[in-house]
Amino acid sequence: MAAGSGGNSSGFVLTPHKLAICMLTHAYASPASASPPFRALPADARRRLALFLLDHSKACDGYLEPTLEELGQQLREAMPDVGGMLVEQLGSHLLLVSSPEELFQFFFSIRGKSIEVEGHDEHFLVEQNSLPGQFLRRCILSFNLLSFEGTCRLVTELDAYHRPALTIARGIPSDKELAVGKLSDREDEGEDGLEDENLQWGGGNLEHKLSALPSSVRNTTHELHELADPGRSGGGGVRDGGFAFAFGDAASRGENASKTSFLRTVGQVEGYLKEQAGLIEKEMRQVPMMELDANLCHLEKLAPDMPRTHYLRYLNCLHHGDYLTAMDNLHRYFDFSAGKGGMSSAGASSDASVGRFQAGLLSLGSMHAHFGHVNQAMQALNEAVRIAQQNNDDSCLVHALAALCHLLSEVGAVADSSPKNSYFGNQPSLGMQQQLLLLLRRCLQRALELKLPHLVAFSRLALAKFDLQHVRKSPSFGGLKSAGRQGTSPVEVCKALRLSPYLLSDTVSNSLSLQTGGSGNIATINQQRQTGNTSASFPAQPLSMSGGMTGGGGWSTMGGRLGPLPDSVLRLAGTSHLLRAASWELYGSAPMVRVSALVHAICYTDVASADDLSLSYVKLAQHLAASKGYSAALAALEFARRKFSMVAKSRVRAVQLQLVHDQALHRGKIKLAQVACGELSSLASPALGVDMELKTEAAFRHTRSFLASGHLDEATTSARALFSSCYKANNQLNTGLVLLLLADIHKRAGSAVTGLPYALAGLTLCQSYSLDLLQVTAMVTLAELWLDLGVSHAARALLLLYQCLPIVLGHGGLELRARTNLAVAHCHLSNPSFSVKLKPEEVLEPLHQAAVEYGILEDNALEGECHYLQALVLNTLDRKEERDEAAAAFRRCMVALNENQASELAVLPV
Amino acid sequence: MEEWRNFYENAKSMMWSAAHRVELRRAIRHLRDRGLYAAAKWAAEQLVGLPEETSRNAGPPPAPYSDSEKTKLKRPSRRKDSTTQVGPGYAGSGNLREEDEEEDDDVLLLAKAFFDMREYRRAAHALRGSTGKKAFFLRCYATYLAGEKRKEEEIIELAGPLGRSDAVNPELVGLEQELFALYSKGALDAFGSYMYGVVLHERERKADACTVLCASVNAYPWNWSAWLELQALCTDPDILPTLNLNDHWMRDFFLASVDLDLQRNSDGLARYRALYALFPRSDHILAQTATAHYNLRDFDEAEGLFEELLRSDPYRIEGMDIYSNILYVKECFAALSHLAHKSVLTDKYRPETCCIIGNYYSLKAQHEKAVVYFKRALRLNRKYLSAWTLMGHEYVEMKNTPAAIDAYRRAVDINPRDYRAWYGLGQTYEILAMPYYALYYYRRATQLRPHDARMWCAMGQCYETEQLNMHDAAIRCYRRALSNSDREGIALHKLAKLHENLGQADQAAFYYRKNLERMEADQNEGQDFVDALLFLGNYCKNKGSLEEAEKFCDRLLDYGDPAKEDAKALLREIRSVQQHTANLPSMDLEQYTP
Repeated sequence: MAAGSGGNSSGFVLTPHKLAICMLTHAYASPASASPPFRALPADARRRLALFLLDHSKACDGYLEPTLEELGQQLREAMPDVGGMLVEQLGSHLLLVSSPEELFQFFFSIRGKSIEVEGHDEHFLVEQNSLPGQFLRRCILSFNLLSFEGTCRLVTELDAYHRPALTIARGIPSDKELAVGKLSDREDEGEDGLEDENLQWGGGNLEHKLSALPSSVRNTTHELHELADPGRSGGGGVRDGGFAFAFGDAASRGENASKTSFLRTVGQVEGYLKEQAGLIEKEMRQVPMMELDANLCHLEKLAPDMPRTHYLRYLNCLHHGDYLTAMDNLHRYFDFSAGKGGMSSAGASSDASVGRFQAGLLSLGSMHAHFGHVNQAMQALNEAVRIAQQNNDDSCLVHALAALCHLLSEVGAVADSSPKNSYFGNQPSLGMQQQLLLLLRRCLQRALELKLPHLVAFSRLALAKFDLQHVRKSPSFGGLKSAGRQGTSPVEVCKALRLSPYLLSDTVSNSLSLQTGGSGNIATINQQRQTGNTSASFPAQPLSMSGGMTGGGGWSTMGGRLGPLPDSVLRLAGTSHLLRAASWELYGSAPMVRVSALVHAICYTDVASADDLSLSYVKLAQHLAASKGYSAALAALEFARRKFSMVAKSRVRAVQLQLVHDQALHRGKIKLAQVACGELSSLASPALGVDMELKTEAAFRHTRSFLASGHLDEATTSARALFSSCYKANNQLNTGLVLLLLADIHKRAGSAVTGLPYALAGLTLCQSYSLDLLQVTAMVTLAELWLDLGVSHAARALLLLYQCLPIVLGHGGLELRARTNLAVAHCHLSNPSFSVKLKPEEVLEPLHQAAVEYGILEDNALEGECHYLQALVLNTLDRKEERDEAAAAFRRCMVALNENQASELAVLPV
Repeated sequence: MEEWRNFYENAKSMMWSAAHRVELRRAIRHLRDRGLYAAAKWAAEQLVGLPEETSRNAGPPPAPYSDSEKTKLKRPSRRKDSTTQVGPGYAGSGNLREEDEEEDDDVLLLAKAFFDMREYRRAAHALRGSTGKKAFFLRCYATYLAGEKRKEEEIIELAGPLGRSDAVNPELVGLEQELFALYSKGALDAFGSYMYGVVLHERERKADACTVLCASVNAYPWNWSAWLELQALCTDPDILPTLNLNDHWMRDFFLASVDLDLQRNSDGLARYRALYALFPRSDHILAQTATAHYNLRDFDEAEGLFEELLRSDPYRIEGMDIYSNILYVKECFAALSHLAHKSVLTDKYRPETCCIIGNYYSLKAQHEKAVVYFKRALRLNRKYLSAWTLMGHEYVEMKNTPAAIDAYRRAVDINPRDYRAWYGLGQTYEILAMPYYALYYYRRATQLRPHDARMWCAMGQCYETEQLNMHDAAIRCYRRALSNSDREGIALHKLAKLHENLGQADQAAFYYRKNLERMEADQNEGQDFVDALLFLGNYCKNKGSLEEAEKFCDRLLDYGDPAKEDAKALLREIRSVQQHTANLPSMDLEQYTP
């Protein structure tokens, strides 16, 4: 509009919607002074109207302004009692404005009124400096800036604005309007008799004719149209011609719905874009790709100078896996935004001269990482680091470093094996792990210097994760280098984890005060956020299975209204809890896992990304499975599945399949187990280096299925392959698991001697990584192996088992407990020096426990074994009734087991 | 016998041209009556482009085009032909003929007068009651133009802070409905379907627009505007074969033009050559041929053709921006200033004129002024591609990289097939030391011009940078450049250097030798020459072919200081080895003699 070209940089363009809001404000402030006067409202309706007006002067849901119909609808909803009446009055007032003169009159009338308010109680609302007051003043200002063409345009637009709503608002049936059209058509025919042929122009000229018609005709159509404007018919013919064109224009606008769309102000549109981006970021979005894309196309057409639409399109494509389009939009966004920047974020003018190319590289890097293009991501991120250094863009530098850290930790093995290891050409001898550690330290140091809290937190968390996963020389043996015992340091992990939330809470309060201080560099903050969010989701990644960065910008709320920092920082705080849960899981305490996950799920629901949130739900479900059995866990998962959208769902699905697999193995349904396993491995992306966790997990379960079905050779082969791949990837945790699995396979094969080395190796590994729970499992396995070696070793096995008992009973899951109990009973029974008759309870008690626990786990085979042993023991004790009971239970188990094993049914839950 | 055949050929071409002449004369009248001035202008240009009208067997046939590669075309001066001759092969458009005879009614005359005065609304209004195809078309066309005018005004009015550009021609909806009604009844004549095609194109219904326009040009092939509209729809090489076009000489013009547009320059050139035989005096063909030569980077040829064009049509502005590009590349200050001066005097407010002036200032290294003129060109025509790209170049010169990127990007957004802009984007990012980021843009440019060595060289340079250090990829790129006739010899030298740095002496020697040959042929002896000689000298010495090494070193002695010293040292070494080996064989001989 003309006002805009007149240098109105705020993007405030007077539109019919704004005019309508002005009128409503007028109706609120001084209903009596309007001509014709608005009806005075009761006090509480006034209050609601005030709220409504407040809402509308700063709304940003949707980028288009509502039509009059929608406005009326909203007004009726907000005020069921008087809304209808207000809409009607508004409609009639809008109708009154049909020429520039009336517009002038209207703005003249509200100019003075914006200050004098009749309602004394809440007059502050329409004060000059209140929001609606400012809104009014801006409207008046931009009206005064309008050129005459602009005013004409406004009148035309106004006409198009109230036209479609007219029938509804005024209650005029549409056929009546048609009749009006016919009427004027007939008049046209009287004059020239052509209009029939081209109805379109008839529609266009209708308005023209209407305005030229005698006022009597117009009064029949709109009763309220009492104005007869003598100036117009008498005014210059030139002007009239101009109107005719404009009106023809308006009519075609009226037909074409998209033409009546008026953009909100720049700020509001940006708010909308940020909101959408935030939704995509959180992966909570339910809108399918095409819909948003269509919206954005439309928006792009309306506002070609808003580069951020390209960014949103990029995000959208990214999340729907459209690589080419994402790439295209990403480049387009940064090409355009580098040039200006001044428009989208007012404070960034100083930034614009430098250009934000490094940010472009950063985003490019994270995009490649998302798609699993490790080498390209490396290239882009390294270049980002370099350019950021060159341009002294410290915050970008740190973000790039953080992204690099993540990439390295995520796909270290893959990058290691590839020949493209020359990016760190100066230190090629260093292994990937050392590089990662160095980078992390560098990142942390930088972040501390620059006081970027979320990155400090991120690096701390990443360091903690590193400590969690990697063996280092224990510092306590610093003096004796070669003799130093190797191991992870739980203390340091704990320290880092404890530190981060404190820091975070500090920054939350800091940034709040910063916000009120009104800092200018929104752009930098945005940029930080943009990548801050990226990094926010990093720490969760290794635990999670989706394996992708959420890459790029998140503005979850309008930057100006809500502080941009707290959100992402809070999210990181939540993530620290998740990491804590992970650490507890590794170090061996199921209840603590539950507590941490619970804290996250409850306290951070609103800020956490769907990724994190689904992770916490999944952890809780897994805990349920370990402590309450599978059906409870599956029910909980069903709940989670309904809660999350597509992307997060894949993780839930993965865990669901794992649980199904476990359950099937326990029940002896080999077929189902195999199907579940296959489905699980198909969830992982085929790209190399992506979804490593999921792939390992699937392979592991595959091996277990072989073991359960008795295909020991295949099981050994696949376990060996898995072991070597885990070892190569430096994935010690899984290495330990696989070692134990190998020991199990050998035990199952009946050669305990060959199984022993595996169990012992697993034990050592667990010790050095402080993986308590796994260590206990290894000890139980060891004990079982000893037991298999012969009765003479029973005492030694029992000793081992007694050592584990505290941890098993305190922290272990159902399965481990059952297994230990059964093993204890076995030890006693096979120990020749043990006499059942003397201490029956020492055998019966564990057996009973084990039977109950296996019962919950639905493991019929082992439960049956327990009952069988119970029956034997009771038989020797001559407790016949109990013996019969146990025997009956045994039979029941066996029947169930046979049924399950015979069943070929393999239906996965949907 | 030969003579007879010649005579026969002559007679045939005479007959053809006579037929064409009649067709074109008629077409010009038709087009002018309907206000299609651009098409009428084009047709008139071709009309005078026909061979001179002579008596049947006198006068030599026009020189075959292929002979005129270097020689300037000696073209007979134009004389106005007053006699009309109806050729025997004339297959007129029957339905139009009656209409020609039909007396224009008074209203139509009035409307045409309004139309000529650019009072489009009035013209449309005056015609509201008239029936008849001509009146109908003129009414639709006037309405459409009125809408276009309004649209242009609106774009300026609406240009707000968000740059709203949703202004559309408000008449399109109505026109579409009206035309559709007639179209579905089959009641549209060729001009009516042309109008319908234009409207459909504007409404973004491209497939339908193609069908309708094909129908229009099949029914009435002489409307060049319809062909141009069709060409605008052929953005993809795959669309062209799907079009259902009748065989006609106008189709050949169309196909040639499309070939040029799709950067299939050699094909286009061949087609124009064929057309030249029919229209030996056509400026259009001349200009298009020149453009094709320019696209093929055949600057001398193109320059000659443009000069020829200006001689016959000194006030021509169309296509002169390309001529100015050629003068710019060849750094012809005087000629460019002359051209700029002349076009300013002819028509100051033409985008081409502004572009020529911009080029001139750019050549004078006054980049700020150049930008001003490119901006003016863009104000005159927002979609003027080359101005965006050239402005990008200027901004690069001014070290204003963000502005340069913005300008290039706009060019790319207008036409994603503009490889110059993609290339410019890549270059700009390379200047910013972001070779990895630049690669994306070079890749896009390479996709568009897979046979352009420059693109491959640019990519190779990116891969070669110390930041990326991807020598394998760089070598592959340079090889591609080489196989696509790399004229500047960049690729050869780079390949040689790369292989040398990678320690692959044999390959390096191979490329150095090739480069040496090339430079000898071009008589271009710079630092590259010295490098090549030095390496080859060393290489041959190490390989043991001392005489060859000596030869290289001798040549090296012609050059400046550091190379000279190296050569001397090398020569000394060679001498000592030679002496050593000279002694050795004699000893061997002694040993082996019994």
